[in-house]
Amino acid sequence: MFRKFASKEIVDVAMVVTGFTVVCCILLYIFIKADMMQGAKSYESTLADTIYRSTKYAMLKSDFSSLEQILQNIGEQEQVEYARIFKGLGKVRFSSDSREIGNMVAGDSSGCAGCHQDSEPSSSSGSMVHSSLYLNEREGDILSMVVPIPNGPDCSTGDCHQYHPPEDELLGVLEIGVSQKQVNHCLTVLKWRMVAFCVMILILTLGGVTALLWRNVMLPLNLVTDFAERRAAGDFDNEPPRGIGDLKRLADAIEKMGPPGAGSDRRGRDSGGRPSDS
Amino acid sequence: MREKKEASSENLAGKENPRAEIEGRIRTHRSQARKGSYGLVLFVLISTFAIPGFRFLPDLPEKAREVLGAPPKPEWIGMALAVYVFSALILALARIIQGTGGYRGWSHLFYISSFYIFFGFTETARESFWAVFVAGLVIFGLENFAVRTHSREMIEEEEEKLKRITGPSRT
Repeated sequence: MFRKFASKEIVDVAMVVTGFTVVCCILLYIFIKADMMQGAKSYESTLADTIYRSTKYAMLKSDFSSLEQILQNIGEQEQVEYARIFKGLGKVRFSSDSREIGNMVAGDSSGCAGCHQDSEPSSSSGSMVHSSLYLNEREGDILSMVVPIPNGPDCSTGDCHQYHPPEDELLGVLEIGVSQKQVNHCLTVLKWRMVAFCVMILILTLGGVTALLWRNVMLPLNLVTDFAERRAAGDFDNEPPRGIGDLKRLADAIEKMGPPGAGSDRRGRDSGGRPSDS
Repeated sequence: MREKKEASSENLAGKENPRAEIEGRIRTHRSQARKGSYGLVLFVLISTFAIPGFRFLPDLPEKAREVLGAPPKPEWIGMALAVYVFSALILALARIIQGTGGYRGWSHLFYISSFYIFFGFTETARESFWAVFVAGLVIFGLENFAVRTHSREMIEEEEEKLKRITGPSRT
């Protein structure tokens, strides 16, 4: 009887509580992941700006060895996969990996796709800073950020530096790639913690409902059932069970169905007086 | 003797009608119980087509995208999903408590598909698929459970009646 009764009561409660918790955990995971990605983009944007400002002076002084050293130092950071500057047409001019210098960046690479989707490249400054996420076969997810190096008065009209014609809008592009291994590791840990949490919720729901159902419903029901069956078999001397909570009404009603005076006999014994005559 | 025969044949005819009715009702309850499974299967089928990367349906044309405008933020869609799941589960539990029969899962096919479509246009489509899939499993699972439990109870009642009817005839 308990299995049939319990399956009706426990299954739907466990399904509802655990299912809703799982859905909310998945949604929470999605929101946290989006926030972490936004944080990573913000960090990378700051890093790119720092690199740009740091290298600008070296560029103005045409100190290319310092520029290369700056990029190599940045590339040696644990999370930085690469940092490179390439000129128009995609030729790598400076890079944290000296083997890349002189190579052409593929036109369909993610760094180029942000501005070169149409036949005419977008040139408004608001659309130029573009971050994209793509998979690196070696390491996993890499967040790459592309920062345009615009032409300025210093670059084209300064006394010390008139290398770039003023009509050139862009002098080059800085691209940096930051590994998302740390972020992915945090997300994986978060995911497993949520799984553990949902499993605990399921166990607590199942266990809690089963325990309460057994203690407060099934035990008293079994006691009253035994009492009723003994009465039906002709044993009218046994007393109704105690500690059965709200089922006491049922037990009293069953007792009254016995031979006349059975209930009054018990009440007489309980109060210490003589049983009344029927 | 003749009266006895007429009485027993009347008795038999009298029994056949209620028996047929009861058996008809049992069949109705059994087919009602199967609706829950059909709903669950349909939901899994729809989810298969919604798997990110499956690309069963063609991409939306550019003009249609312009007419529709920007999609809502994934956070808003997620909150709407949480509210929808909560409401659906509360309503299903209320029906279980009241003991009202009938399968109400068909409308959820439309709502779940809408969430798949909305999330499909966001950048969180891959993870959001699982949120919608688990939500659908829970809702359709509960509806299936409710309709099966109710149908089983009705069938047991009808079988009890059938037993009483097919018991020894009173002469």
